[in-house]
Amino acid sequence: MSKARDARTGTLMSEPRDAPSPPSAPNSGEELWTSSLTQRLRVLLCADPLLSLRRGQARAAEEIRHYDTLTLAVKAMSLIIERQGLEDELNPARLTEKLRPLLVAMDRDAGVDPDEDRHRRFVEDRLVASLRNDDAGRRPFEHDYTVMDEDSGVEHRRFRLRLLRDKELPDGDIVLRLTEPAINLFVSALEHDIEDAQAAAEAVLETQLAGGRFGKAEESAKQARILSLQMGREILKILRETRRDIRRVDWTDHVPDKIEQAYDHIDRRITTEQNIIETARKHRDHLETGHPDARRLYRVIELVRSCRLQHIKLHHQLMNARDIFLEEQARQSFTPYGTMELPDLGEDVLEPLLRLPATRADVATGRMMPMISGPVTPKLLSLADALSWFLQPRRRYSGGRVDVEELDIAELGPEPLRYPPEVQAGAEERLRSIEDPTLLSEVLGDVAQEPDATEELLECLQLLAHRAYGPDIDRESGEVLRQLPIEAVSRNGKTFQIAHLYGDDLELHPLTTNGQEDGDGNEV
Amino acid sequence: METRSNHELAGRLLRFGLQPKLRPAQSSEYRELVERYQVRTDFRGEVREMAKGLGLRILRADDYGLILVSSADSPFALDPSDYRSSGLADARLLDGLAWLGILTTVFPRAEDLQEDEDFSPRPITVEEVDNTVRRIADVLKSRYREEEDLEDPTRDEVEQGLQDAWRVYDERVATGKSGGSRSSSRSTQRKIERAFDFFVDRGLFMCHSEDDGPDRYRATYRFKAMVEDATAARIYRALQDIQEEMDGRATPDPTEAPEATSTSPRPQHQED
Repeated sequence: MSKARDARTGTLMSEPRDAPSPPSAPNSGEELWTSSLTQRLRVLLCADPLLSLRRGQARAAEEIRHYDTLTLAVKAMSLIIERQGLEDELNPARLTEKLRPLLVAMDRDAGVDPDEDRHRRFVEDRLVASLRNDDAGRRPFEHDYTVMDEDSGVEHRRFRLRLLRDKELPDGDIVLRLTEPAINLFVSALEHDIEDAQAAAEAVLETQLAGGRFGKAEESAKQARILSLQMGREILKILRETRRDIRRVDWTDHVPDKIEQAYDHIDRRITTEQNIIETARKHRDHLETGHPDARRLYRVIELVRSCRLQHIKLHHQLMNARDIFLEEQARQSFTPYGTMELPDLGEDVLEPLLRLPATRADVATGRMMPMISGPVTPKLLSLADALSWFLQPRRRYSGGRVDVEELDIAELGPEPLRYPPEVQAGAEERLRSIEDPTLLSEVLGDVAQEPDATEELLECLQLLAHRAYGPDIDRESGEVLRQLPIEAVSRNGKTFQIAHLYGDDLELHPLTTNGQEDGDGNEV
Repeated sequence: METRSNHELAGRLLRFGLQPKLRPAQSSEYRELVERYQVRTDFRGEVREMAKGLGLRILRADDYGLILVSSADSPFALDPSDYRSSGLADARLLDGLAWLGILTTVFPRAEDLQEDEDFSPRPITVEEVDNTVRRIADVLKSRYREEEDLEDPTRDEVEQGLQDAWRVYDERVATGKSGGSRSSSRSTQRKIERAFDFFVDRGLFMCHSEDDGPDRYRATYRFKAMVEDATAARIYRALQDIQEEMDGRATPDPTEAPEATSTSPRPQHQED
């Protein structure tokens, strides 16, 4: 256990960024060393794994040597951070798709034919694997550095850092996420602590909204949302430590202060974010329908809304915190000291277990297995069910043949509709009313701003537009069966994201005659 | 939902929690009950009390569902003899070591148990787990060879199961194909495959099959949460108890013996 405890007291990647710096003393009127110098040193060390990517490129396989790894890594970080915590987070395959335009451009620049398989191999096996430090078993990158201490002189420290990690989502999907140091490196170069950075980001956002610089406002809103997530994680970490060993968390001063700060933070943020939403709405109302800034503002409002949801989630965690403390205090109060320490499973458990006589090891593993498996539901005997099962008539042996009865289609009820008829009619009407070639993203953006626009309406509209891109064809006559008098043309891979919708953008062209309509109002 | 009593809803939430592969993302009722647990103090208290009565402890209730662990005397605790149906002591021990090997391969160091919640452990293979246990067994074997006063166990000692546990693992082949693609049922890798199958079935691991390589198993959030919040500390304590019993510092439970049949008494153990 000593090793584990030493590791915990050592400098871990969770080391607070405002950790006490060496005391400074006047030296010819100048400080010998300052905390800000340590801070900058650490920022430079954070960049080392990225720079070593470029250094290692010379040794990479020839087929991928022409890719500028650093450029692609920076773009990859940007793509991941933009989607972090949203519905369309990236896994390695989706990241490859997003990076493909850059990869193709680099292929062409080097006179190489683009190859999707090579792109995948480069992104998954080289870029992502390097950022995740796969070669070292995904352990943190480690960097030794030196600071000056007034008492002890030169002091050597170790900085441990992860940049990228896998994250399991609640639905079981595995996505890529940047770590907090990586986010801060990318977003604010570790210059601020979490709260200051959030306050700064939101103040910038408000200023930008007021000044009409909406593009930058959108970027700032994205940063604000990421920083909100960090605040929630800090509280979760405290609760997790409390569940593990209440003695490792200072519930006398530190945690109550932290909770108090978090409540203040939520109060302030909810007010600030409400102001941002109102300001954005006000600006939006002054813009003409279809104005590009109106769509940007819509996205800003959605982003700030997701920030607010994050705060509400944090509020629930805070409400639980006191209960968890009391529950754990009661549960852990009689647990002998030392048994709550986390073991090194190899050194402290498996090795001593293998040294035990086989019979004792057998007893030990028998005790441990229920702790590892989690609860299992015992099966209860129902005498009535068992008797019914035993007494059921013997099934007729069919000799492997099953007679299939033809169903009369008239006996089936009407097909259930995914969208109510009025929603379909509304979506169709909006598409029929197109007079000039228009982008699908513009139509969706306009409809999204309507006060009575619903998610269903937007979805239905998108589906109808995509159906117009690939209409049904009559098998016998070869005639194109169009549901609506529009023709949709691809925009060569250009995509859009509006509200919760994402997909390939299309150019919608009205048709002069509607003779190709099937006229039976196909159901979506 | 509002028409049902808190008691019934608490029972339903525990029922969802006892289906480890079910996630709130798959069931709106489950999601609503988890939200209710997070927001309503009275409901939370009711669920906890009910869980306590059933010998269950709630570790987490979040987007990943209700994560429960059972106490040793709970009817929901796994009876190892249900898993280790073999009456042979060596086979039972190998099953247990396979489980511990998996745990150690996913979390090799204490600091791996303190990773951020967001960190999903890297996927591992059957061979890696086997190598983890064999590496430690090899170290113990070479240490044994260096110490001249240590002798090989006698036949009686082997028959009574008094030889060191590492010898049992070391003597068993790692693989050895038995016709199909899977290892021989007596090999250590087959034991590990079986353990992974069980864990996948319990929602503790996800299996990624690949055409050009071995299956890779990734520990789920549920497994990570259980090991970090409870299992690691509990198994360490269980081992300490066994060592203390052997040193005579604690009185061994006279009823306790390696389970041979499902009717054997369940091992009693100090619960947290």
